Amino acid sequence: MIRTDRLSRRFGDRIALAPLTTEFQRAQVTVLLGPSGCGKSTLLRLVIGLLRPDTGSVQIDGETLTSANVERLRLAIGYVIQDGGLFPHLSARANITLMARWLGWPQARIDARLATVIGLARIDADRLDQYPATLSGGERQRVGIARALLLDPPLLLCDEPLSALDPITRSALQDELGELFSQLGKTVLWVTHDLHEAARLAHDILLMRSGQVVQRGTLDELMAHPADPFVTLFINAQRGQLPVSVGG
Amino acid sequence: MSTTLDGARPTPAVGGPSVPLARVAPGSTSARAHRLALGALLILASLLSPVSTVSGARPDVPTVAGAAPAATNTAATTTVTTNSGSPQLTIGSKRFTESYILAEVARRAASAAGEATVRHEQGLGNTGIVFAALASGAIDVYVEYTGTLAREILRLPDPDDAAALAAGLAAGLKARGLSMSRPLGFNNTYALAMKATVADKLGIARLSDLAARPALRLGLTQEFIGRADGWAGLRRHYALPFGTPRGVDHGIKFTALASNQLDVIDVYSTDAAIERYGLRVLEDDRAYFPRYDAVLLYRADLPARLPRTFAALRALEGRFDDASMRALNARAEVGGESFAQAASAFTIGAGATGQAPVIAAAAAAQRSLYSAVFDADFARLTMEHMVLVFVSLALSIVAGVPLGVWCANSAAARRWVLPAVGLIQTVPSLALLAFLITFYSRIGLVPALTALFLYGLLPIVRNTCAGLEAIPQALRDSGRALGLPRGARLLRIELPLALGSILAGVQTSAVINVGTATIAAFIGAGGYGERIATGLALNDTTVLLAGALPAAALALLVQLGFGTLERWALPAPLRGVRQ
Repeated sequence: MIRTDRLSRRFGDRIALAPLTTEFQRAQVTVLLGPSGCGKSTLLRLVIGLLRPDTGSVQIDGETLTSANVERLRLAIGYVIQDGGLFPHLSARANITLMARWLGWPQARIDARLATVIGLARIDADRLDQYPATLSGGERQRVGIARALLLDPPLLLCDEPLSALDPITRSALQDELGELFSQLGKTVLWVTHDLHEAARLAHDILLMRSGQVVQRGTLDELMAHPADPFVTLFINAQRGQLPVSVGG
Repeated sequence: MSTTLDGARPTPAVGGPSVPLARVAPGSTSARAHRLALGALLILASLLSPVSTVSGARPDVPTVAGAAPAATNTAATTTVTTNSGSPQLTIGSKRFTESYILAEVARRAASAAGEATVRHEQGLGNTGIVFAALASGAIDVYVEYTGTLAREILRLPDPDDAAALAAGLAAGLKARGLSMSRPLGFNNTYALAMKATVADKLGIARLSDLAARPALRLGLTQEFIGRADGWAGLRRHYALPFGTPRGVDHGIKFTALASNQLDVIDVYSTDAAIERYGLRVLEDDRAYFPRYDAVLLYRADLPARLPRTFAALRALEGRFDDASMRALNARAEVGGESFAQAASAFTIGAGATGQAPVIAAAAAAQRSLYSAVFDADFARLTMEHMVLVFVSLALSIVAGVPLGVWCANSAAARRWVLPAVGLIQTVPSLALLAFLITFYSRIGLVPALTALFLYGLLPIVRNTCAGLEAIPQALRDSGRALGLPRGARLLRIELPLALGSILAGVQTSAVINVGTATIAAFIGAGGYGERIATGLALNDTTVLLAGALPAAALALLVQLGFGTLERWALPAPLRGVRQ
């Protein structure tokens, strides 16, 4: 589905992502996990072409990402960021339907698809005419997700979408989204520093540090066979915060 | 931007870049920078004028006078016709009463010849601007003074005698494709004057008496301070013990003197205010001031192009004396007559007739501000002003927003475009107008709109650029990640998000334009500035306010209008957000 081939990027002297050759599987949630600055967001931004790689390339369904095809390929990618990345001058409805209107869909098709995605993201229809500033944080995030789902893209890239939410809302959305992704069969790359979130969502985890992938596997594999003392350190640092033991 | 009158400033050398009221001084500009720029422009104008006159067939420049080839010598081939088929004569005037009146006298005489349609472009500016207009062919003729010509325009060395002066003037003018008539008859020289009561008390009758009185407060017009035959030479000649004198506007210096803010001012010797304010003209006992004989200065092709009109103008030679000129000036300044009415009191046979109708003065002075504001020309001036403001604003938006977008997307553009449009702001408006008159070889609406357009750019370019740059990176990324192409992101996301900032820039530009547009009157483009110019020339506060108040009201309306526009155009979350 998604392949990276010796993909790397520096910012000045700092290696944001060391050359990475890997694949992400179709219809799986892959969590890019790690502390701040580990390169997980950089990898995501390289995949959707918001950053140019220094070396290497990204392939999406066998097609190598270039400046010529990036806008077309992005139509097949949903991108969700913290707080939804909503445009403040557009209502929730206009934010969600922006791309459909841009692509010239007939109004009836837009309305039907809107009804579907607000159902998936569990948005009250009577909140659609609100501007982002008058929505709650959770509502903004749901609108951001609905917007990303509008064109029914097979691939979703989520860059710490829930980290600005309060714990209760976050927990509810994690459960909902996990269900949603498996129901829709989306291929998801999910960036977080939250081990608990990874535990709830991930089929596959890439634990990163300083631009390197330290270990890849399920959470159980990471805990049972840590490839590096950092893996244990990272897991233990967050395990203590959890109300129940992770991964049983 | 300051809006103070020039005379109210502590030092004469401070001039804001675009201060409408400070620019309306007859024969006076607001800053030394203006004079420097104008000096350079005079040279430029004299360099350019042969080009514009020789290249007679310039179909893109419909201005009549300027398109006539100087070298051709038959009237039939050189007469340039307008759409109506009648040849045109354009007479210019400087921005003070006498120049207005003489231009009206000339207009009546030229019209009577029945050969050409005669226009009077009123109050174009000070010497520099009017001469530039003549040199470029935007006007055909205006009244100039020999002393100004010799010292200020041609910068001739002090001549040995009158014959040498005449020869020097003729040669200097010929080189510029210009010529001058014989004197009209009066000598309007510069002079210094004091209140007669104060002069008597201090025992001052002559300029040399001033040397013993270093405590006197001098208030001189900027033009007199700056010109070659003005203050600097006078101070040397009489060894006067004064530093840099205060610069005051021609229109307000008499008021300042009357209210004892000043002790000594410069006047013209035919100034109607001399009697009105009971002034003592100090005797030039060491013969510093040259003669300022009024002459008609005209383009050299005029006699061949419009021979009968020219003959009618020549008939004005020798028809005036100091007293009759002062009487005509008094009709306008004291009697409250229009310039055309005052000019009509002059007839070729009899010179100026009658006394100034002093009784009418009281009536004129008591005319209410209300009736002055809503005079018959109110609708026309309002329309002209609106056209100036909003047409130039539209041009500024059309050019400024794309420039702002370019700046926001290119570091190189930011480095060059922003300083360039900023630099335009620092060009004094009179200097810019003088340059544009030369550039277009015409006066009136086109150079005025161009100047206002250029001044309007900076707020729009800067606010567009700032508004776009202030959009958070996350929102830019969201637009890109959705797959919107660059143009769609700009139109649907970035410009709407920057709209508040852009509107604020447009509003600033519009409000500035309302004020700056008052200068358009000085190059014949009309608007409320006509009243301000006239009011200053006549020292008539009512007329001045009748121009300034509607301009201020219009500025307020524009401000309010933009408030409404913002509420209408901006989605609720963006209102009041101005980066």
